[in-house]
Amino acid sequence: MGKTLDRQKDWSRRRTLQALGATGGTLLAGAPALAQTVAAPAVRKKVKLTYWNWADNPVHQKISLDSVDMFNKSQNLIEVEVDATMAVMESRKKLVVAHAAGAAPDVIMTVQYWVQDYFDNGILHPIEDYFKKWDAAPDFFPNVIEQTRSKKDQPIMFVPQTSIPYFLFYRADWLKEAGVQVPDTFDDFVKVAKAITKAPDRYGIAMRGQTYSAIQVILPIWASAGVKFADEKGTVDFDSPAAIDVTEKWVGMFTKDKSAQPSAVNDGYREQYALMEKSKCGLWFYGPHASPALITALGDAIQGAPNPRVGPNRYMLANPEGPMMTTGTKEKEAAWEFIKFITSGEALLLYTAGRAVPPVRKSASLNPFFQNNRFIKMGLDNVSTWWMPPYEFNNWANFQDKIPPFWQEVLREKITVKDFHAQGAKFLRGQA
Amino acid sequence: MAFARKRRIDLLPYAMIAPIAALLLAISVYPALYAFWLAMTNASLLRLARAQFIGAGNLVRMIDDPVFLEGLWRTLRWDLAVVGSELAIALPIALLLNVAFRGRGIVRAAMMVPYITPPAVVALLFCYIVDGNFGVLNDLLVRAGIFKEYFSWLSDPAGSFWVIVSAMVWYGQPLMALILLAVRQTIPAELYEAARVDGASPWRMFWHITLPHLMPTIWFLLLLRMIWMSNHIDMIFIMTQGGPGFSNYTEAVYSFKLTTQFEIGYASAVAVALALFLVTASALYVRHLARSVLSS
Repeated sequence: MGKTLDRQKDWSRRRTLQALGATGGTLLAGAPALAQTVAAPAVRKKVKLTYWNWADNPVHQKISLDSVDMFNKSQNLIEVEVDATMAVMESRKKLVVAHAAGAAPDVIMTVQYWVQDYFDNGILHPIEDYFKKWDAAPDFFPNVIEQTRSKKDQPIMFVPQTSIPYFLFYRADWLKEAGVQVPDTFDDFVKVAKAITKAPDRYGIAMRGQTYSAIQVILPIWASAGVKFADEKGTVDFDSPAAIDVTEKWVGMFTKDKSAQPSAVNDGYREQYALMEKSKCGLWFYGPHASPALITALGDAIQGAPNPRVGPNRYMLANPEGPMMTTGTKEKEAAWEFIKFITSGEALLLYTAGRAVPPVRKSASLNPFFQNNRFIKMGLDNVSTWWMPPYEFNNWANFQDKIPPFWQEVLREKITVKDFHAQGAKFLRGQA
Repeated sequence: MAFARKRRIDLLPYAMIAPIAALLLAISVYPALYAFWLAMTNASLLRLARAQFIGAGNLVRMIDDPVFLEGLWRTLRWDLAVVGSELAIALPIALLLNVAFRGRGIVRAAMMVPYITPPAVVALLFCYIVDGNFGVLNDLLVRAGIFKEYFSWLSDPAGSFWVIVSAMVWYGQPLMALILLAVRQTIPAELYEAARVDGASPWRMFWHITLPHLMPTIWFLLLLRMIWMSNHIDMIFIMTQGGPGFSNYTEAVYSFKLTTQFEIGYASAVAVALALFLVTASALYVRHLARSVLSS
């Protein structure tokens, strides 16, 4: 334990980034290179493309720059210019504004939850025709490719590089000390959170209050309780008793059990990560990209488990991410060549292993890096439970954009859980 | 024989100001007019081409929007707290830095450090200082026995407000102090010498000589900072995103949030309403200022 604590003291954000960078670099140096897409046979003239990606941190930014550099060196006809200076949420705003001004990039990285909005508003150019002709198409996880359609009858919208599963990080040593098992059901989870709390020194769950991500981690638990959020007919059940019951228990961990940190209302990712790393909290819903730093800081004490369930089904929120082609591009063939490049071979490894997130190609997922990281492997072993809410529903963006302040209000007990759900349902119904 | 010579218009001055006038039209007048136009539409950035004119529709929505209505008070509260605190700190600093003492040059230069620090960095520094779990402020308060346990400043409406105000005041007061110091140095020394000969106390000298000379500048600074603070977003947004809940949603933050939700029509309406409040208040203020200066 002493050793672990000493290591925790020495850990810093800089080292976290170094660890991620080193992981990616080592992997690329040691791993056998996967087949890399080569020059563009369909492009017969010199072409310039613009490509935008967000940067979670300097390592992520370097990945974008390195992948573009690799592409530019791989052939003579297509030159890609990259802008990877924006934060993830900024990339959506920047694209929408640029599209309105007629200056959208040719290719941009996207997350699944924006895709339907982009498609409905003429920003996204689907890639189904290109994808079907690609000999690497069968290598992609079929369920993830289906997700990229957004709606069943729609074409494939973009090529996924990864889908980041959100699961439960837990302190195995604290659970053992408290004599409790890894929670199977949500009720178990609430009990475990309480059992391992020793306030004010440590708390059960690292709870989040800030931004939509605070709610995002509860989505699979609501889904497990049978909540559909919205269906094709437009029926909204976010204000159903099942949904309210889950939220009552979740909020109760903060307001009644006191098994969440007192600062939860304003805490975001940065604070949650620090709480886990500094052994202040023992349970956290997050993705595998936090795992390299947590493993280095906490060793075997930190373990992962699938999300707890309410009903018989268990879900793992997993949002596909990958490059999409915009309608603004005049060089579709060239854009497709670039998209193929960064979703294949070494470039794909940069984007996945370099960020410690799972690839969604069968061949790449067998790479030792992914198989040896217990968190990524658990995610890959549970691909069948990967799930996402109805992002395609036409009021989902309205809900997602407007609900966060109400979540803080419910944590502060300024509104009731019922009021929170009523407000969320209004957003989903387009009534607010 | 005297012919009335036709007066020739000298075009040169107009030619000289034409470039800057064109630039102002392009980057200031046109966007302002466009914002007015947007404020009367239901424009969304996602569907800009399909924007429809709705006249006073956004105005009606604002009157029925508690976030907007409460935002007026939040904006005023923010303005008064920041500008009032800045003045309360900057004025003594300016007077102190006018006194001769060893190392005054270094202190004067050091005083500007907060102002040259990027506001985003200042915001993050304050977030770390007041962090509810690891912050040094909580540590000091608990060690000193003032608090029994750590307090989550940014999760509390009043706590978060005063933390943001503190960060803003720390960042903004050097500019005010510097300007007041510069004005203080223009006050003729003879006035103080004559007052001393008459046996005036330092307080009477401040009250009857320093303050009257500084007042026009103070009024001007108050106006300028109030306008800046009404439009301020970054410190509030970085530290709390306007939260917890809506407790730090000033009108500027609200307008920005609406823009991030692509509701550019309503966001423009909120921004235009804020601008109209500011223009009206400024006009009344300047008129009052001009009258008081003229009468004095």
